[in-house]
Amino acid sequence: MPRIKRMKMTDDEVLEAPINAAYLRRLFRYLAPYKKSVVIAILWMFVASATSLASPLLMGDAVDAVNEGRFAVLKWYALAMVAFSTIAALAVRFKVLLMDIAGRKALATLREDLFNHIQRLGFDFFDNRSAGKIMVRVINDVNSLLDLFANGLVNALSNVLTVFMVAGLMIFLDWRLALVSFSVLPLLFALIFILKPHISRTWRRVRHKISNMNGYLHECLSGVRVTQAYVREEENAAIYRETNTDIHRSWMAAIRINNLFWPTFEIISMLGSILIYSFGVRWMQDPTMNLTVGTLLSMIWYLGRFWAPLNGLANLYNQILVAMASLERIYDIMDTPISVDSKPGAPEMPPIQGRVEFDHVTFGYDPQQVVLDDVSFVAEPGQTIALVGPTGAGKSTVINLVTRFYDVHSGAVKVDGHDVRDVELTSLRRQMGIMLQDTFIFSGTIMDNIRYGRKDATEAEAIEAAKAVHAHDFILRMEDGYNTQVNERGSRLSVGQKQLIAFARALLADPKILILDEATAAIDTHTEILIQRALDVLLKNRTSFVIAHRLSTIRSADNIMVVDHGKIMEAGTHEELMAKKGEYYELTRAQYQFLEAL
Amino acid sequence: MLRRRPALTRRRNQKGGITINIIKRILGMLAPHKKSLIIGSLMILVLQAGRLYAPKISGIIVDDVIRAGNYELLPRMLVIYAVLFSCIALLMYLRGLVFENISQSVIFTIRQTLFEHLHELPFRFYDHHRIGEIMSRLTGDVEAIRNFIAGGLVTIAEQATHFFGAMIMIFIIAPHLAVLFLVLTPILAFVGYKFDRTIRPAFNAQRDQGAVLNTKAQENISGIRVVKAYSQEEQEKAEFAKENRQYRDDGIRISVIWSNFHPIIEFIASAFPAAVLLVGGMLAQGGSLTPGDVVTIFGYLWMITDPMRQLVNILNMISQCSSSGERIFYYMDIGSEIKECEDPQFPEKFQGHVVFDHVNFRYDDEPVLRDICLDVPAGHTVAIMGATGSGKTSIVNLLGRFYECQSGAVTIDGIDVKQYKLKELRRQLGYVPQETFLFSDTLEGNIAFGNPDLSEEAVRQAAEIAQAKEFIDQLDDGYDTVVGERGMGLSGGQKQRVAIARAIALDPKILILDDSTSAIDMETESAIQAGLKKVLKNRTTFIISHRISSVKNADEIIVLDHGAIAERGVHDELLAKKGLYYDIFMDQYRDYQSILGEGKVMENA
Repeated sequence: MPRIKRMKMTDDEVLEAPINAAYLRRLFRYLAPYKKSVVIAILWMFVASATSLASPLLMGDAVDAVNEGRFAVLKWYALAMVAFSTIAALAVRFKVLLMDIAGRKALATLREDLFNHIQRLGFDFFDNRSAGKIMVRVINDVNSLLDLFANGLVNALSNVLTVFMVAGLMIFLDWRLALVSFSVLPLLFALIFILKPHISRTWRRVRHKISNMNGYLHECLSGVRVTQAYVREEENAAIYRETNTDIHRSWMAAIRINNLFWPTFEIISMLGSILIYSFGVRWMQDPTMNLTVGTLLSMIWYLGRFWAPLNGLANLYNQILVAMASLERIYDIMDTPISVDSKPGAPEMPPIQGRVEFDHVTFGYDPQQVVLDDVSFVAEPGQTIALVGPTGAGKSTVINLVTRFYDVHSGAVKVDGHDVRDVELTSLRRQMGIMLQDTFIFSGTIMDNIRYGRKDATEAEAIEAAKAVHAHDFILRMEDGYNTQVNERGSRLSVGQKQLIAFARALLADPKILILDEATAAIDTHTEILIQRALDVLLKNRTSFVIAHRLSTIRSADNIMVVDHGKIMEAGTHEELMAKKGEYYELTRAQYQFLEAL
Repeated sequence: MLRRRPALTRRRNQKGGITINIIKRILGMLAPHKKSLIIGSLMILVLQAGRLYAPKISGIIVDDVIRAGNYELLPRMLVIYAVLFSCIALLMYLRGLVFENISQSVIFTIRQTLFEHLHELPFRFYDHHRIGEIMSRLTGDVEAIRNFIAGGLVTIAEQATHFFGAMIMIFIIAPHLAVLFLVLTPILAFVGYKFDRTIRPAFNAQRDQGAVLNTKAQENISGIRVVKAYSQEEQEKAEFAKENRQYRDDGIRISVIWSNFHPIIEFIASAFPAAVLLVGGMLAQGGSLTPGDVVTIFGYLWMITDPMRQLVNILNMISQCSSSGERIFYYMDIGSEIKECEDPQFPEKFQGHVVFDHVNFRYDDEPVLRDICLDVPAGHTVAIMGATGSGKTSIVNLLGRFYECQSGAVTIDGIDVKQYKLKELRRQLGYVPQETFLFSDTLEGNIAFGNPDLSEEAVRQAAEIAQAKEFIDQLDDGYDTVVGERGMGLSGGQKQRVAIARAIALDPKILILDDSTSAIDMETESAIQAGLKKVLKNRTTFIISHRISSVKNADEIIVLDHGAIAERGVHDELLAKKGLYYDIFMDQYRDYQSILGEGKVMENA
């Protein structure tokens, strides 16, 4: 027996949630612009329910007519039947069109609101969540609301109405037989409102099992190379077999309950019919009861019309529970406050000269944990500032504050003397260029990617930028040159090439302040040399903050700041710091000594 | 051989045609369940007979009981009625269980077979297929097949018996009416078919647009930092809104098509009861039809109109099953180019003598390795350097037969790797791949991945050598900490250390480190190397790296250039050569040299 326990795959998405009226109210507010549509749709729905209930009555009367030899009227019945069915179908058509369009439009608005909100959220939001999970909310969770939106509300109304109309019609036809038939309704209610919820519980279990299996499957496929290298195929297959068997078992368990529904319904209908026949036929023998065959048959047919609306109402409840889970996830995002935002009426940032000042800045991502502790420094226009120091010392934090991805706890970050919190955010960031460690390539052409930050740039300008960062040559070598389609996952571009494209992107945007987080990953020598040359071009004539890993970058900086323990330990040029024989000297030496030690 | 472009197959399927051979093959999978199938079919037969008889009872009650005044017949009829419907209910329940069970067994087999098959497929398959795509084979496509077997087959059988049975019954009662129905049904069927043809492209369009919307959101969210860095939020919102509205409009188009057809279909369907009244009335007037007959015929109507209405669903179900089946079979039929040899060798324990003898390897017609010759005596370390794409990883991939070379041979202890039993061969290699992947398991489980029976001490020892001990000890749950996608996030360097421990835990004679310390700082790396030095004795090691520091002490260093060995030798020899290796060295250490300014680097080198 393998001793090492395997982690059980657990679900992280809730499939159903308790009803939250506030969420529902907010949701249905999206339907408000379509109030008129909804009202008209409800009217159509009434028409549809009423007209569709005509046929049992007509059919019953027609049987009476045949029985009594009134053959001449039959053609009118036939005509009425076609007419009522057609009117009902048309009414349904109008209702569906109105509601579907209103529902889809409302959902599209909701999705846009959600997406737009996500665009404004701070980095802290994305730090804690995977892109995949956010995606599911924007796409799947919103989609899953459609049914509730387009059908839920209106159908619920019409179902309630239908139940009363059927009951009313039956009483109107013959109140005594109606009462007799109603005696099976409790059974029907029990079936729908007791068995149904039980059924949905068992299906929930199945969905959990399926979700477990898919989780495991995804993992196995992602790690298939490791599995093959370590010859773990059989173990994985055995685990998969377990989850697979689980599904089979839970599915059949669900089916055993689920499939009770229709047969039970048949039995209940049968009981109703037998009741109607036995009482009806007896009462028909009494002429004073004034009961016809047609009425008796209409009663049986109407009894069958109860289940659909009742079933619909039972489903609605389930629908809402499922929608609640989606809503909860959607509003979890919608209600996330925007941590960094422009003050109302904040002025635009004037053209940046490039003076950046940290004035006694204290900051931490988590209020309890201080990452930067009372940091002050000034970067003059055009200077290159290299930030060095161990991982987690606060280098990235410095650049996150310059760009105002986060707000300081105390002190101030000033650009050209303006507190970054006092100017309009977009106008500030638009003048900054930020290059992160892992460059992101959008799907589209290489040209699109270079022009990402300045869509109005001409092709010539974009090519100029690519040339300046030495990306031109390799781009031309690609099959369609600048028009080559690329994307994030496509392995067409190497890490180094992606970086060069990102450099071109940054250069084209011509930021006044450049922020650069140098990539650590080792790149082959040729590309490495290109990147170093590109960097020289990029850093020229603008204030730059570089989290540097390349010694060459560090050495050519105007000012090297050694960040450690949330403080700037020392600062100066390479020569000054080396002469000082302080922390910087030790850092550099350590790197070298280690090579020697080999 | 592998077919290369799965995308083509997918596109072909989008039309949603029905391929007879695929359906046949799916039905072929029912063979092991022949007994259940027969039982289930018998149940359906009896069930349908019962349903076809049921309307008769109402007719008899109307005619013989009520109109003829033969009231003592009623209790008997009601008993028959009760028994009949109880049987119907019971059979409905049982046949559902039978067919659900068949369908679950079939998809169980499909899933399991496909899963196991996928694990046998070579790396090349995974180079060309995205995980999301493979996932949807095992989820959505399998579901379509389940739906066809559990629902489709039963629906087809029952609707067909309903239709023909009811037609026959009506024909017996009133032949004229049956003839009229035979005229009406094709019209209804035709409209249904038209409906299917019109709405399917609309569905496809919406699904495609859904994928576009998905991609847009996916990219935006994955690249949100760049979006914000360039203040492109407004632009992104506009682009998303455009796709979102298109998606909405595609959805509305479906509703419009549906609502155009719905009234027509209902109108035609309502012609059936109307025809019963008109024609039935005439027949009744002539005395050839009783009121009871009219009631009976009313009872049959739904059996005729329902199949017509269901036609669209059934066609859709079959076509979905067909295209899903095609996609699943496409995967199942992909063979592995890496075949077990006829009479494989079971290596006891490698000595570790590895030879590459004039090895050539092409990948999709692109030469990757050219005439590679290497002789690595047992216990030696060979380091491989070279630019991205120069073929470094391919060399070690050939060793474990993750790919197959076209000419030349890779031998271990004098025997071609192709002669070994594949899994035994791989079991003896300690492989640390470039992309570190950890499973959602405890750290202990991950380290013991290759050998679940490993002792606790061995796991800890491996972790210590890989310099993972320190950070693991700092975790609250230590070795029981769950990592991977569903567990705690580790840094790149931490993951790499666990991956190294995983390889060491195998105690392999041959160890392969494919750029496996790229995210680890140099100091830790040197500690790992120091640790490895002790255990690497008598182990043949392949190290791929960009860093001089990682390869410096190797017994042989080879530098690849466009798939060929451009330079080889030990560190000092290669430096003296002033070639590619020297360039790399200078690039990485020139700066340090000038900092310390004493020309020390060269001296030491």
